[in-house]
Amino acid sequence: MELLAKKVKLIRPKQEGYWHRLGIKLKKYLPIMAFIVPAAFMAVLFGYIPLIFLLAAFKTNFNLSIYTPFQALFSPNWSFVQFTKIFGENADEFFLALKNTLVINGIKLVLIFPIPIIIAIMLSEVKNATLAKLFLIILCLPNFLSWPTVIGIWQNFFRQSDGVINSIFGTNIGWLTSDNGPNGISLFRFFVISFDAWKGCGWNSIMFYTAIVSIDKSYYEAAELDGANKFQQTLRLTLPSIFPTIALMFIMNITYILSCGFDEINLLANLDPNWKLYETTLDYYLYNQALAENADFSYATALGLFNSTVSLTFMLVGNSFCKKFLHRGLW
Amino acid sequence: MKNTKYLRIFSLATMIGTALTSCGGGIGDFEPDLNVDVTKHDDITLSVYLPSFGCSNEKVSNGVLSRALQETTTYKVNFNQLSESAADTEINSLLSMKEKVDVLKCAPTVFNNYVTDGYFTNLTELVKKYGDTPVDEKGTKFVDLFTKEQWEACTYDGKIYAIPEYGHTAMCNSTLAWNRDHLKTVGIEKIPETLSEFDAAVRALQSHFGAINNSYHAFGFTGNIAQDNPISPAFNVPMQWYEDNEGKLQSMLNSKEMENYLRYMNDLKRNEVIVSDWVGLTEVNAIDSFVKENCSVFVSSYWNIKSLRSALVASYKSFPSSVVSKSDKEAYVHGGKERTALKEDALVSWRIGLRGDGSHSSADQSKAMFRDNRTVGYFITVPVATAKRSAYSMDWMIRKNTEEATKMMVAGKEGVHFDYTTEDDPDAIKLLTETPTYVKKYDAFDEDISGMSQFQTGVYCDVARQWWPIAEAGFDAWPVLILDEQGKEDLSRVIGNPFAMHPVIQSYSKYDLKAQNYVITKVQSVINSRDNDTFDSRLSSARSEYKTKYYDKFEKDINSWYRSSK
Repeated sequence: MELLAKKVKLIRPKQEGYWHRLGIKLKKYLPIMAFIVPAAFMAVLFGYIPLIFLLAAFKTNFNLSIYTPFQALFSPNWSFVQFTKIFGENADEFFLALKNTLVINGIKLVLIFPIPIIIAIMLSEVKNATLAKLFLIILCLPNFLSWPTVIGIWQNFFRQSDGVINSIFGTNIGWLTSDNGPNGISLFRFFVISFDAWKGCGWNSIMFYTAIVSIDKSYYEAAELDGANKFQQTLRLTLPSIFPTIALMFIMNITYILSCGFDEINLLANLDPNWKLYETTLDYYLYNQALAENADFSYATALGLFNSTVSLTFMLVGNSFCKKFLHRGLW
Repeated sequence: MKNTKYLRIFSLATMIGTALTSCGGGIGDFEPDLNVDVTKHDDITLSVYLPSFGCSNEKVSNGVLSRALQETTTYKVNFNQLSESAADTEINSLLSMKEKVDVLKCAPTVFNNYVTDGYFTNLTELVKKYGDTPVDEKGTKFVDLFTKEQWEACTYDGKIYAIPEYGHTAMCNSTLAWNRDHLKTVGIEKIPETLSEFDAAVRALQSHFGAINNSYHAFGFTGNIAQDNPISPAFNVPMQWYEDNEGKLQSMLNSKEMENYLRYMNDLKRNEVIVSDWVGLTEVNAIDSFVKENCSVFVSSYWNIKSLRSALVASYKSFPSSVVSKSDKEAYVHGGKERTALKEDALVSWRIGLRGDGSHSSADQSKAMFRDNRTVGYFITVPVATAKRSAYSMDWMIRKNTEEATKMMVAGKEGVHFDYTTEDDPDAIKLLTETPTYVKKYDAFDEDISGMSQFQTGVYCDVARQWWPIAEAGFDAWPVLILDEQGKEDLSRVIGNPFAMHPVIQSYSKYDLKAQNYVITKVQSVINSRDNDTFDSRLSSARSEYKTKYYDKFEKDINSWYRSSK
């Protein structure tokens, strides 16, 4: 055997050059690689090249107007002052925004995340496939409305004067204000979460619905023969079967833990001064720093970089957690 | 391995090359080219951005005035309106993305915010070169159209960065528009002129109509006028700044008058005279509410009276049974067949100004007061992206500021929009000229000139002031000029701002926009307080937060300038 191994080693062909191997691979996979080219080009152009502007976070000032982008980026004013501002000079505003963001997203993860799963399970139980699809389309429709339209629709329902809710119940409640809500309660977070749920749950349920319909029907037949009722089938069969999808979506949601979406918060916060002052979230704060009042690109970039780093950490931790305890993960 | 290294170097070089190409932009040289021959501008089309004033884009870009301006100045200009709701964001984007904007008209807060960071072109040399251009037959120089203080307001670090746009006339932009029928229903025949009359009227209206209609709130108050409306002058609320006992500048938030005003508005709010979600409402919402009879009085701008009347004719539900046809409805809304100025029996009625009479801790005034708008209201700037060709922008501005161009922008064309007439003419409008001059206007005036104040400002102030009566008096709203018995401007009735005109102070510039937004938001929040304790704590926290967040940062600098300027 040793002799044979030596012989094999001896007759192993000489290692080819890099270009030769590349040529062979290109020849072999060219038609497939051609599909990647446009996407890769776009990803590099719009995804990776702009990353160079992260350097703006490490400048004392980054002024695009009076310099060219590269003059501004490589001018000798390097510092960490923008990061120290986050936790120093602007700490109050930043931590208020962070707290609000975490609270809203935390509630969304606990209360809203399961709703698309429940919708998907309910839809999968509709025996008439056409009817199930029709329900799904109806539930998905709000997703195609822009946030200004969504807020406008609900404002018509909830505004105090001439609002639908007040007109129906003969009440005079300022639902959309911080001071005159029912019993003086501010409903900002309730509206943010419920409008988001109304808009997105139907759409988000598609992923779970397709996962459920792809489960082999013979499993259900077997479960039925074993005497499992609908609830037991759902609990013991459906949910475990779609668990990879649930885990994937959960990790994706955790990744966006520091983002509540800007449009919805901005439109709602503008309805009440206290919402504008005290219900600010990180996206809204970032917008104000970069575009509205400040035009402070360096600080906004530092803030964005911080958010991305934290999000990435959350994603990695979430993924590790899922892999360790649930044996499922993104990779 | 060697080949891999080359491939990596090649990839890196491609990445950097692509990055450089995609970032674009030439090497920064943002000084004006003084050697440009501005007389040869046939190939030049200037891009001008103006704040939105509610006119259609078509009227602004291709209307009579823009065409006439092209004729007068001989420049081709693309006029663009900034977004009404998000002007700050749009300006930010225009400036930082180096859009080719030749002329940008911006508010003082915006100018202050950007000038210290170098977003605007240094116009000093251009002003020196072209400033002596005569703008009238007497040979008045362009630079002399503005006072030293006005030029100072445009100066930062000894350099001029803008042409001032001066509010040339003491005038009142808005007033309380009432539903006359509603007032009569609660037994009030006279349009309220004092604060106590106003107070009695809105409470009576709320009590009567609020019992019938759940959606009714007598006063259609809106968020954008929380501090600047016809009620605040009745309390002598300062305009942004006032001088305290120690001779220091203080924010209006700290004044006793502001507290009295806020307390009164809070009381109205708590008594449901004001709708609870007023902060998010605009004047358009208030008009809608007025037409639907969900309110009986609201603060109307003079340029919105026309649309208010049209909306009432189209949609008002409570016309008397005898009023059926459109012409009858128009007559009822206007108070007569002639659709001109206010008539006593008109459905929609008003009185200019609301006089404080000591009630509800208001000021004791002999005549109604108004907030002063005779200041640098806007700054005409040239963003650095077009610095090279800023000589053309300057030349255009000078041509726009001549006597001839100003007269055209304010009054239109003689024979088309107005004509000279005599005192005996019932339609005669007296101009504010030294020698009595009377004009009458034609229907084309309302169509072409009304509401186009984008073009009427930034002009030869003396000429604009003289001709302003034709622009405002009796066209379809009210006489908005603040005049005394002799028909002259009555400056004793305006509430001034001691810090209205000041040079750019760097520490203040950084916070001006944020601080003003903060004050407005806090004022709204205080008015919304649900009880006295909340009111006190919110006002107190607003004042202390304003001090630590903003005032302490620029207090020394602004007061040092203020002391030296006195």
